[in-house]
Amino acid sequence: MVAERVRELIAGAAQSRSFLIGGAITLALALTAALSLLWTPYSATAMDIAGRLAPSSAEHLLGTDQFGRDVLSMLMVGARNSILVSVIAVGIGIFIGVPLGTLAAARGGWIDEAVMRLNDFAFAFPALLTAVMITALAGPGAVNAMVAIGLFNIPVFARLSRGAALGVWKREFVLAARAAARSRLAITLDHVLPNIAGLLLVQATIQFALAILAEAGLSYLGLGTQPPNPSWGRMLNEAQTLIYLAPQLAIYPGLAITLSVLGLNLLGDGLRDALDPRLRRGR
Amino acid sequence: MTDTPLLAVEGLIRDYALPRRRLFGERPVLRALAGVDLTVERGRSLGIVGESGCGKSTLAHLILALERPTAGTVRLHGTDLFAAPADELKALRRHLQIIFQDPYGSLDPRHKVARIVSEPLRSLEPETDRVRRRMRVAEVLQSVGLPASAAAKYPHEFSGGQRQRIAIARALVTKPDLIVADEAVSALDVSVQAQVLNLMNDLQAEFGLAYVFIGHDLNVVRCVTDDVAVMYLGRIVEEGPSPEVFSRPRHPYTRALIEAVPKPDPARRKARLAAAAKHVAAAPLPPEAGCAFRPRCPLAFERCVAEAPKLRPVSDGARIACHRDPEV
Amino acid sequence: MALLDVRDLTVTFPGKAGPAHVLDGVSFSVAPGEAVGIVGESGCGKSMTALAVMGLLPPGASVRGHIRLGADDLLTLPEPALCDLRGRRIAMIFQEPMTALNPVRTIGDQVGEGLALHLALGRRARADRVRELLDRVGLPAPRFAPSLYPHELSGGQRQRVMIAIALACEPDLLIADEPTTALDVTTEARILDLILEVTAASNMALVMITHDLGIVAETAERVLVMYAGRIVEEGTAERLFAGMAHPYTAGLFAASPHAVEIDPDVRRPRLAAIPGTVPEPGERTTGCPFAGRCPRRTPACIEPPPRIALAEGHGVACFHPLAAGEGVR
Repeated sequence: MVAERVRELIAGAAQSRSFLIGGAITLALALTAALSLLWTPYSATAMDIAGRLAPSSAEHLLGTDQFGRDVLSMLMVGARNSILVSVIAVGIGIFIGVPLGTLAAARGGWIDEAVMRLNDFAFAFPALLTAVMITALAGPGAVNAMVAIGLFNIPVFARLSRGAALGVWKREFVLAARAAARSRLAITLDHVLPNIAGLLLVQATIQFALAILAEAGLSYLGLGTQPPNPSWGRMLNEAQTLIYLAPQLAIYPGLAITLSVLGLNLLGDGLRDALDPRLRRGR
Repeated sequence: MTDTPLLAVEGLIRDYALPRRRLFGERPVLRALAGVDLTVERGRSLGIVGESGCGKSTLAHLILALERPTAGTVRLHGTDLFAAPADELKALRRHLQIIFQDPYGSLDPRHKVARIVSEPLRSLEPETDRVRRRMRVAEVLQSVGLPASAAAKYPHEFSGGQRQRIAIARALVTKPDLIVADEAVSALDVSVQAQVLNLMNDLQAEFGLAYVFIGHDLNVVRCVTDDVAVMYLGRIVEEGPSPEVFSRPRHPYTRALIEAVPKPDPARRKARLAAAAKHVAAAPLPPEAGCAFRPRCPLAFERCVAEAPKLRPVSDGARIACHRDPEV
Repeated sequence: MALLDVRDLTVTFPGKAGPAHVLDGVSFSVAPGEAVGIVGESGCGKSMTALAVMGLLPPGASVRGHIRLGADDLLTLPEPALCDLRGRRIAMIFQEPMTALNPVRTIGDQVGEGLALHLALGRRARADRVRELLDRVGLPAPRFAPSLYPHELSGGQRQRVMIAIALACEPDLLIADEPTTALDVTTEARILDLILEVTAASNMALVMITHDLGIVAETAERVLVMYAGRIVEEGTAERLFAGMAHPYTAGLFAASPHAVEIDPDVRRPRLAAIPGTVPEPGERTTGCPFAGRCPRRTPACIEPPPRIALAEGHGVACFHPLAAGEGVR
């Protein structure tokens, strides 16, 4: 029934322009990443010193970088890496944060206090700087970047799901379920989660956009995806020294990051509007 | 049959701690129920009438063991709900169901009717298999006047009155002895309200149910109850057989309640216009001691300041908590 | 000359199967100082009528007909002029005193808002007038200071503040949409008294919208009974309650628990319920909207019912109206 709810939500959102545009961009991003698994114009790691810094041509659609690698291929594989890191980072947030938040809402009392104070504690750290610290301590790499970004998604989902779940716990159908001796766990699974799923989905798309940004940031600093694996953040870093010579090398990954973040945010906005019937009209 | 009443409520007190007024101050306490005693016999129906803040919803939650009282007991079939171990309480819940006020909020919008109605069965009678469950759901839907096809639909496909029928079906499915109806028809339109009230009376006759029917509209309560208790600020101020209490109200508060209900009689408009100028002021605050109704009471005298009245029997099984002679 | 004159008001919303008629040819008028009651169940269009008069219909609604206030047609008036009318000439009280007040502003501020907007009163004069208004609605100093916030008041007291806001600019017409539905019975009686008293004292016309026949009887001189977006019966309160002619009016009356005589010997009296439910706006036909639930229905009822004048100031839209003194069934 969660699936049913999500389908209903998407049907509602399909009337919103921001959902359609955001959805199209996000879908294109996902398809590009999927395609990169099967085919890229060139190998993303193959160097060709002779043909380096080539401008756009029929051969290399977006030209080549200072090592002669095909920029389009690197962007495609980079998309895959970005998505992978972000999916897992958001996944960590959801799979730890949502149980914590719904537990806090279901139990109340000291458990609620403990979870929420822990949450406040986590929120007190600047997320990206701490992610930098974690990857610096644990060593750079895609896996550590995922964990570092994921860690800061946990309190976001914990807080959101607690607040929303508390709202559901006050509804009369939950009282009816309690009068029927359903356990807290059963009520959470049966009544609370389906009723907050839409809200979580919206938050997930927004966190996904933030995770893409965070991954690009970490890679830019050399702490995320490691060479020779291409990543958007490192492409930006490497293009930095050549900014006057070959500005397109910075522009392409920059555009890729901007577009995907924009697409995901629009998607989230569209879903949010669909969730809130008061905003649905006139869009 | 034994002498144990189906439901016996004794000395029920429930306090709520309010937020502190100052950072290190004491938390003030709101006494929602200030010592309530009630009994309901099998197959009978008791009305609880009062205005918001009189403690009637708190009472409903306590009878259903959804909250714990500060003091006092609630016994169902002689077993104290709050002293019973968890498994015994769960077994007792089969005999105890609830219908809420809001036909929109009391049904999970994400579940189909079959799932909503069978929820109490699944948790309270896990031994019932799927086929039997489906049969029971079809039976109760029929009892409340809904087609069997309703089971496959979602709540939003039904009108308010039909939803309330679904809520009644859910309450009936475990074949309970007692149903607590908390303002069960207040949100319904008059014509639909009459349908649901008649249905509740029919179901009571058919299944030998007992109701605790909580409401603010005396005329509605009159139509589904044998006995009635009128509550004011956490206390019962008058109780007795419904026809008796409504035709010969004795407590000044009960009289004020009955008099206040607008009646479809245009002659009353003129009386209202004539008297209106006198009662424009907002109601006064209740006092700390003595009779809680005193500031609003036309009959208050010195004794009401000093001493809170206790329930005392008057004629015909009726009891009132008032120092005044009932016929004044 | 009528103060408010509504002619053939039709409001439709786009629906899946063509436009859904929420209001269908509603006509009535309100004389200066007159108290008119509109009664009906949810979905009958009574609130939609009020919103149409206020020019506050939700987006997507298309409106036909005329709503005249004095010489102005409210449906053709530009928004700024309409804004000026709202509050100054027509005021409205809503059902939910909890949500109709802004929780983060003081009550004095909210009562004074209209004074500043429409009457351009200075601060000093405004403060005096606010105090006067709060006294007027039974919220005397010092217990009810203008610096209180809505959450510090009870539901009945908040409704009093709403009435003070409505009274602020001394409008000609007060529309009260279920003003006491969220309140307790004894509070309800006090608020109804207050509304009657303030409208009568300043010769303000009142449109009282309610689902409760008791409330219309006790507050209105003239009554409109609405069903499924149409006025099915109208008349002076005396005539209408003396002889309800439309089977719906009579059915609504009989279904109400108030109609059952209090008899010390009768336990659990049975109510005369009306079977079925109000048809949805999309499912309505041009025929009698009540036909599907009506015990007096005949094949003729698929046609639009005729308007029959029964007596001076009493009309009904029905093929088979009840004769005076006749029961519903």
